[in-house]
Order: sequence, then C-alpha cells, then structure tokens
Amino acid sequence: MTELVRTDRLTRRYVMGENVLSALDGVTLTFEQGEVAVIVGRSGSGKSTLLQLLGGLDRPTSGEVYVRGKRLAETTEDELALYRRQDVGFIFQFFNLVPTLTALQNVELPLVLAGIPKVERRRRAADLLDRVGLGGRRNHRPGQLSGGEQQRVAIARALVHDPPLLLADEPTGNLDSKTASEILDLLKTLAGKTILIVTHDRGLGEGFARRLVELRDGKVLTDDRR
Amino acid sequence: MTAGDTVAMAWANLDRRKGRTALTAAGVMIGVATLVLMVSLGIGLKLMTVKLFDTEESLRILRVHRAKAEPGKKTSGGFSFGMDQIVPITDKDLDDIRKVPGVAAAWPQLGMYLRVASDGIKESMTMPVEAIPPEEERRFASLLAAGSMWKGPDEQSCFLPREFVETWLKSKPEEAVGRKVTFSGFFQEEGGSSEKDVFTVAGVLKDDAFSFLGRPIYVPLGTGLSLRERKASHPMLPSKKGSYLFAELRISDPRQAESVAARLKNLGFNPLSAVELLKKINILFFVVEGIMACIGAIGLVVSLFGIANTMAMAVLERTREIGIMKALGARNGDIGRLFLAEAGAIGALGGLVGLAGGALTGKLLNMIAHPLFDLPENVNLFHVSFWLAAGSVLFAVVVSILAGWLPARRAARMEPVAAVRYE
Repeated sequence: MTELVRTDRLTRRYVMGENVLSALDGVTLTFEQGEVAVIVGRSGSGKSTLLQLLGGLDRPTSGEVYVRGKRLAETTEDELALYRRQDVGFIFQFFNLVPTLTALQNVELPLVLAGIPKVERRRRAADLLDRVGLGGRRNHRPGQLSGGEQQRVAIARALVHDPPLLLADEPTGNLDSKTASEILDLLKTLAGKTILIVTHDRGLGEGFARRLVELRDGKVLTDDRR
Repeated sequence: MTAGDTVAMAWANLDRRKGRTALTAAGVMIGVATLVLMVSLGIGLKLMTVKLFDTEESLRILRVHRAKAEPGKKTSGGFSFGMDQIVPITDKDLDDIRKVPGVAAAWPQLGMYLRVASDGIKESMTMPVEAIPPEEERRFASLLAAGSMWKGPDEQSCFLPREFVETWLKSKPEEAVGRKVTFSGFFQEEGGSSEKDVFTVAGVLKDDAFSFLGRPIYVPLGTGLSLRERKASHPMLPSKKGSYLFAELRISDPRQAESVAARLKNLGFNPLSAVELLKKINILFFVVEGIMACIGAIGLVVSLFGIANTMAMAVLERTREIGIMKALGARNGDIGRLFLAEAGAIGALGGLVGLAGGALTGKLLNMIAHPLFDLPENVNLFHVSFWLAAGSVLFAVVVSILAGWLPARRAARMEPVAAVRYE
C-alpha cells in the first residue's frame, strides 16, 4: 500500500504561564492510503492533538508531518488551508456545525470555500445528505436535529469534497450507544479512504479497525495490527 | 471562495442580525445624509451664483479699469484696488480699446447711482443708471420684453429691468411703457430735479439682456452723459466729462475673451471678464464645498466607531464559526474578505438610505426655499449631482471597510484549533 500520512518524532508542547505541557512527545507513525485505524488513549494522552496536527489545524513544536511525502511544515498558511479543503475531512465530537445554516448549507460549506458553482455544490450536498439518511431534513438547522442526525450531517460535510483522509475526533463521544453504533456502521461503508478515529473507548476501537494505536502521555504505547 | 459567495454569505450574516445591522447602518445613514445635504447646499449655491454670470451676454462683455502701476508691486485684476489707485479712463483710452482685435464695441460706464421716482409710487429707489451706445441699440431692441427702441441718443427715454418694474412699479412690462420716471442725484435732496431729469419708459428689458455687471436702468448714451454731468457728483469717483471709472466692451466671439483680456492687460488696462470671475467663483466654491463636506463627514466618521464595534463583537461571537470555516479549508483571506464585505455592506446599506434621505430632505428644503427666497424655477438651493450621489455612497462603503479592517484582520488570523477544540 502507498503511504498517505507519516509523522516523524512529532512533538507539540503548550506553554501555559510558567508551565510547559507536552501534549505530544516524539510520535512517529505511518498511515497508508485506504487504511482504517483507531487511536485510543485516556483524556490528555495527546490523541486529539495528533489528529489536529495530521489535519493541518495546528503546527507542531518539533518533528514533521509528511503528506504524500511532502512536509506540512514547508507549506504556507494558504497551502495548509488548501490541504484541509482538498485532502482532509473532519468529524468532531461536538459536530461543529454552523448553527445558523441549514443541514444542506452546512454540508455544502466546504464546496463554497472551494468556489464550486452553486448548482453543482447543491447537487453534491443533497446526494450526501441522502446517503447519510437525512434527505428529508435538508432545510433543518442543527438546533432542530438530534445529536445523531447532527453527526450524520457532519459526516456528510466531511465527505462532500471527497477527501482521501478522514479524521474523526470522538465521533460517538456525545451520542447514546445505539446512535453511536449507527454512526460507526456509516463510517464502515466508506471504503477506500484513510480513516483515523480518535476515541477513549478501547472497545469501540477493537470492533472497528484492524489497527489500534494507543497513546499515553503523548507517546505511542502500542501500535497493534491484527 | 468566489466574490459572489462572499457577498451572499456576508449579506446572510447581516440578515441574521437585523436589529444590530439596522442600528449600525442608521449611524452611517445619518452621516451620509448630512454629508449629502451639506455638499448639495454648496453645489446649489455655486450653481445659483454661476447662473448669474454664465450667460451668453456675460461671456461677451468685459469691464476694464486702469490702476496706477507701482514699481515692484504687481497690479491686480478684479476688484482689489483702492480708490486712490484709480486712473480714470478717457475718451482716448476708449478709442485705443476699440482698436484691439476682437473688440466689437467699447463705451464708457457711467457709474451712476441715482434716485428714481415715479408718479403714484411713494418710495423712490436708488438704482444704477447706465448708457446704451448707438452701436448697441439694435441688440438691446431684440431684448425688450415690452416697448420699443428710442429714436436717437439724445432722447429722454429709458429702459427698465423687468424685475424692477414688477417689484417697484408693481405692473406688467407693457403697462410700464410710457410712464414717466424722474432721476435725482444720490446726494441731492429730492425735488431738486428739472424737466431734463424726467424720462419716459420706452421699454422693459428681459432678464437675459443683462450681464454679470448688474441690472441697471438704461438710457441713451448722449442723454446719459448729460445726466451724469448734472447728477453724478461723487466726491471720490470720476464724474467729469470724458473721464470714467470703467469702460465696458463687447467682444465679437466669447471664445476670444481670454485673448482680448491679455491684449488689454498689455495696454495697461485691468480687464474683468465673466470667464475670469467664474474661475474665481469656482475656486471659492471648491473651498466652500470642501468645508461643507468636512462638516458632513464628521457624522460619518462617528458612525464608523459603531461599525468597528459591531464588527469586533461579531468576530468575538463567531469565533467558533470562523474556526469551523478554517477547519473546512477557508483561507485567512476568505475570512478577512467576508468580514470586510459585511462592513462594506453596512456602509452600502447606510449610504444608499442616507443618500435617499439627504436627497429627499434637500428636495423638501428646495420646495420651502423657492417661495421663501423667491428663487427662479430652474434654480435649486440644494443640488444633488450624480457625482455627489455616487461619491457619497462609495465613500461610505470605503470608510466602512476601513472601519472593519482591524476586526477582519483579527478574524482572519484566528487559530482554527483554538476555535474547534472544545464545546
């Protein structure tokens, strides 16, 4: 398989007053194209920080992230924005939908930013909403949708620009077990994409992916492939 | 993100906060309305003044005088000279002026201010009295609203301005023809007039018979000169026979005004033309309009603090939304432009409504001013030109964008990770 993303001694420290908090400490990992992996760890283990660095939302204190062999550190702010827009789809624990936009408008937002013509982006967003089972709720705003529905909208939004890398940060963390199971089933249908899911729930990880990376105190504790 | 999507998104964001948008735009609206009203008053006053001078007749007439030239001191044109500096214009000077190429006719200006009385009218009036030389008679004949040209330069006849007839005699032009008017000296007691001072109104002149030099009563040149000898005894002004303060001259083609003026200057005369006067008026009103614009702009500048405040609030409130957009691939420029578009849209909204408000108020004030100041129908006190309308809205948009600059920059530089990390 071809390498999509690789980290090399990736480190992220936060300065909080006089204290320096090491969120990620020398993490080296490689993820292939089409690979599905779950990153587990307790709260504060650095798993969300790793996802943010992989997704270009943040820059490392030291170490490198390579995407298709290219160092993200070499990119300008605009190139990093382009990387997020073209190559990455984010799914957040708290959905992060824009509350004033409808489900359809939320899903088409990445396409608006990409400058896709209205007719084309409306069609693609509507298709995605149909695919996640929310075709009938296009014009509902996030506040009118349940948690599970909001996460489906977020998944549709993460997929609408067809990115090769899908990063999900606790995608079921704010959902009941039945809805969480439905969301995971939905994610399982996304064959061909590199999917990295961060969760504190080891059980969820073992049932979802063949590869399980465990982080503790910002370091890789285990990297199991089954 | 395309410009169209940026504008649409900005408009949708403003639409969501209608109350706040309306209040912020109201500040801009008041500013623009004040600006439009002040500048339109400046333009209106300028146009009103220019209309007095910018007539075909004004452009063909030049007035000249002669001032003493002092060594090392530049002689000035226009009105800026002292009485002690005057060198009277003589009949010989008039002959010299007539020889200048482009000059069709030249004649002395009588420079008389006489009291005029008429039977049945209680109050006598002081009016300028000037003369029409024989070579100008045909032209004046075509400018009569009523009556006809006198028969010769020594006839005891006069032409009155229509406005004077209507306000003083309170009669129609045709009713005034044939009436008698009596002239008496400005410094003389009333009743000191003889039969020679009684003139018959031969005609009433239309408004466009007059140049920028005023609206005098006209008499034939011969009679006028004799009247001047008897009545115009001003201690400081030249009133002797063959000695005049000013001469007037007619140029054959208004386009030659500047070249004729230059030649007259070479001969030692100080010419004053409507063209030159218009240039000075334009400079003066340029300054007046500038001051008016500055006063009007104060309101707009104050409203900018409102825009800056609204935009700063919007950035704080929408931190999360900005973070989400950045996580989805928005560039710093996309976010910055979105906030600038919102600030600009507030400016455009306030600017357009303010323009309409200012223009309507101006129109209303024009309606009040017309009967109040007895303005002619085609003259407006407040005049909103296309450039004022377009410029004021554009100015409102540009300064609103400037007001939104810092909040927009702050939004653009926001770290996405800080915005999306926690609920």
